[in-house]
Amino acid sequence: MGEHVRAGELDIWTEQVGEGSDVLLIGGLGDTVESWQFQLDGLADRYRLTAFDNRGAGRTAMPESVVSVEAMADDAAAVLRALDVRAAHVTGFSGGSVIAQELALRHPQLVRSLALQSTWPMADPYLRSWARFVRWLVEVAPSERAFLEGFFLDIYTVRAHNDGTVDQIIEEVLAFPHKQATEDLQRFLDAILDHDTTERLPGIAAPTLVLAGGRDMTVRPALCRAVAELIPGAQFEVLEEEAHQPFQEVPDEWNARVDAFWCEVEARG
Amino acid sequence: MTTSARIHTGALELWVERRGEGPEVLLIAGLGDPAEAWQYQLDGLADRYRLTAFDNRGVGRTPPPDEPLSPASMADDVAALLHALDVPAAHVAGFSMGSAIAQELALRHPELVRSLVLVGTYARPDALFRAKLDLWRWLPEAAPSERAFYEAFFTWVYTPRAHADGTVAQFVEEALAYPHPQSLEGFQAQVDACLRHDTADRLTQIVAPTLVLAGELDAILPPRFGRFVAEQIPNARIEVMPGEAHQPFQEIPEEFNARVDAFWRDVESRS
Repeated sequence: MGEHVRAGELDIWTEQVGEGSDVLLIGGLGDTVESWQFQLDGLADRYRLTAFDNRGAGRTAMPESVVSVEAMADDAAAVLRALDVRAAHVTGFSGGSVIAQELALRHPQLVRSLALQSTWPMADPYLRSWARFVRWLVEVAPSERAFLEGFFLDIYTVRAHNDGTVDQIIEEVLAFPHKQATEDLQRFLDAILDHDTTERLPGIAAPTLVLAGGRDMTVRPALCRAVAELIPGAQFEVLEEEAHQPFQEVPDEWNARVDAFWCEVEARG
Repeated sequence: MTTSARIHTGALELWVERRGEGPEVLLIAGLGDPAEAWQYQLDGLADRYRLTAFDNRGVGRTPPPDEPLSPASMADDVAALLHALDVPAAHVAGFSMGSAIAQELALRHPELVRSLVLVGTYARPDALFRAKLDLWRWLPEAAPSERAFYEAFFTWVYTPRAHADGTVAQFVEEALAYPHPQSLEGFQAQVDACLRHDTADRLTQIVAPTLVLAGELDAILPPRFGRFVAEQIPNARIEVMPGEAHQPFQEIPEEFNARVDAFWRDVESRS
């Protein structure tokens, strides 16, 4: 069961499960604790996992102040401090991976290792065009379902579209009671797209694993590779048949990969 | 030779562009595309071929349809056009929706088709392609501006490379400046035609020499669609163009033109 945790100026909806080394999960656009359900279920026997609703998503309110990646990295740091977590293996996905990069830069002592799924140093023109599309689609779509169908076209695999997985995810999202406001989705997107860590990524000291989906049409492997090349010693792997969200589409495989990475980091001390 | 004209084919008036001298080549455009979509082919191959491009029903200067469109009915338009132009047979190249029309042309009017080039092709839509087409039905009307629509639409159509080097920005400007914009009704009728396409059980009947070209990074019709088509058509050959998306004939026209030229030469030398 989750709860609101007072973190800085915000009450952040947080869920913590399991026993073991600490893991912090940071979601992307519109993501809530539930986005990480397969990790919360599949890794709790070995890790203590903390997930939270980003500001302006789910049960965490959007504050009046400026929305920036720096502020959201500070939110993540505040969650860890509020829960007395000294340092965690930090995993970020998509927009959350950009927040995770910034967390590692601003609060390096909190980050034991960094796993970045579907990440980029700075959005390229293609990713920007796609994000601008999502930005207005949410406003003009005739229904939430129509928005999700458009938004999900490029982020799940062909396999998931054809085998009914995407339909099922759409039903789950439609049934989720804590809807994100259009404006909050747009503010998150604007903050993420404005962000550029190109010059600063070489300053990340945490052991880092960068994962890309070979079929991701939005955050393509070339963008992920650029992050891995900028972070000293980072490992880079492409999940060839996967798209933007392999932690949801092939959770067992994905969980095994990050588990192996965390074991390796722990073995090195 | 260069001509632009309205050609009467009995019931229909089609806008046609013809260029060059040599063996006949017929170019069939995709969803929303007028004859100008083939500009690089009209310019680049006219020294060796007589090329015919035209505005499909519902686009450019060809009037919108009164009845629902299908690749089969549009193939009959093409057959009527070739008859009206006194072209006994042509090398037929079709792209995307145009490749669906080209397949139907080869099935319904095989005597008109000397060879087939199918670019970004498919036999029937799968769930994902259907979802895209369903979105496109309402997107042009809902988009905050025509520019916003093109910018979104082109993310599916062109490569990240073309987005990065300014090519897509230029295509957006050209689309906005085009003097014969497609009506929403015309676009939707063409979307419906794409949805209706299904030759999966009939492709084995195609006898024309066939080359299937697929873009490795095509987000709309990735190579697996083209592979299926090539497996079904007897003796068809498929080539995947590395690093390319849905419209290699516009992004790397010289390479594309050289490839189809070599194919057509090969067909000519065999006959």
